[in-house]
Amino acid sequence: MSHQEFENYLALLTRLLKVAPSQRQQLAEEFRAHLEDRLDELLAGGMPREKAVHKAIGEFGDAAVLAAELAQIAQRRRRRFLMKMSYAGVAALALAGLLVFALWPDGRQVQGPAAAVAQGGGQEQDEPPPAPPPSQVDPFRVPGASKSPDKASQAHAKIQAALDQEAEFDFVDTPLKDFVDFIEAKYNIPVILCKHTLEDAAISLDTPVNSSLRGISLRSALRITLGQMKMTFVIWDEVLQITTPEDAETRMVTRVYDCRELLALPSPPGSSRPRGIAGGGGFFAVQDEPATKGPATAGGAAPAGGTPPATGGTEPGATPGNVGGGGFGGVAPGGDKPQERELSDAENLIRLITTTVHPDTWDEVGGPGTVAEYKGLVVVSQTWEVHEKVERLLNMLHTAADVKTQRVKVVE
Amino acid sequence: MPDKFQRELLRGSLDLMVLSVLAGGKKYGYLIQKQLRETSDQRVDLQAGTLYPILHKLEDDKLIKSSWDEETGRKRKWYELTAAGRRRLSAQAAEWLDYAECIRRLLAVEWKSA
Repeated sequence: MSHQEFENYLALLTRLLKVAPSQRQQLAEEFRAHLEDRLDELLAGGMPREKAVHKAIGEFGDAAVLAAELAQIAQRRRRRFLMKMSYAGVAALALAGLLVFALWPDGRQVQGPAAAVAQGGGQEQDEPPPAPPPSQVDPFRVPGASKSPDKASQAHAKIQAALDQEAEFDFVDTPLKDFVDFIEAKYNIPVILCKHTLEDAAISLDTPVNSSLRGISLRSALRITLGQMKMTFVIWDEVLQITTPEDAETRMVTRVYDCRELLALPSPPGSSRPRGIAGGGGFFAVQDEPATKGPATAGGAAPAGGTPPATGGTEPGATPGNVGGGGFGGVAPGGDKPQERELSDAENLIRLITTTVHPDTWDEVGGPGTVAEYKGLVVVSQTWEVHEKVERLLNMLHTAADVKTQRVKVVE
Repeated sequence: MPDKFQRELLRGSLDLMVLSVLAGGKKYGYLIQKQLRETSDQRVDLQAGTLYPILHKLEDDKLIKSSWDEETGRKRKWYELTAAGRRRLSAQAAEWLDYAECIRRLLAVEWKSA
């Protein structure tokens, strides 16, 4: 019964609508029924078909105006949701801040941005002579995007950026595969379903997706929506892949977190802990490092890992994930003779991470995850889920300590 | 046949009209439009482009709810009043009747003496 002109009109109208495909389809269906009802009535009154079709469309109203009005309603809905969320958000942030202050190992003293800059500068000046210029020594000095990292990193950064966007989920019984098409089109990122894995887990590609979420990040919206259906996502091979949590756990990802600003925070006055002499804290140790030993630091920095933590932590090449030892023990002054020592800043930070985020997944307790530190860059090999929480924790620390950059820089 | 009401005059009362039509039971957009037209002697003739945003807004406000049904041979979205919609209708209808009465009295005095 449907007439091609109706379809053209509806196609135009729905193209103008900035809503989820599922919602778009529902609007089209609702309007199609209306147009057909009107057409039936006009035909019954004896009007020729072509004329009746035009009249029905003419009466329906201007597609652009209608689309604009419907968009306004959607916007109002979003605003209302955001209002609700913002109250909850302020309370949550305040709570998170308090929590981080309470957990912060070096006490509550923080430093302002100026001091952090001074520390950074000092490090550059004290770089040992045989080492190449800072820009080459440290590829992470500048955030990834501006240093033209490799293609995979760029692709991952793009997906991460998309995941930070605000979600607009309004799915009612949308088949899983259509849901994926929507995410792909709307956020302009490659998304695939790990078909075999999902099929093995008895999850059909037609599983209906029901989700109405707005005002939160795409990341959270996906976690919630997929989580309800016993699924999750990973960023893998430059693609956002939807799979089972079990499969996601087998995928280890290595990322580098730039924690130099966090590690440059001063200890509270009166702290008895000696800094930078025990060999663990890469950041401070490097400043006093004898020139000839500079290049050797790389030995301990490799994120590969595998051997159990060394107890002394002073041997060159101590393994990553070595909370007790610190990756760079060997290069620090006094590194070649064992001595009584307290944990360095970096070790404290690593300990904070491994005890706060999924404590049972780190290699020191037999889990698959590793963490090591190199000059304030913390290399973590973990699953996506853990990475997200590590990043969140570090961001919270940045916020709580009021360091210059509000978010930790990440390279993956 | 008297002229259609001016848009400005209708603007503040369209929601109320739609709620009122739905008080008689579940209806889909086309029926709502038709009933408004017929009950008003063609003087309230809402374009679909005006009616549907109203319906969607009322649904967002949870004053009406919708469901899909194909029983009439065509897949249609049916709307009906919620309890909140019913309350809103009673309150708004009473207010409008008051208002209309007030206008009537005002006009009876001022306009006739003009």
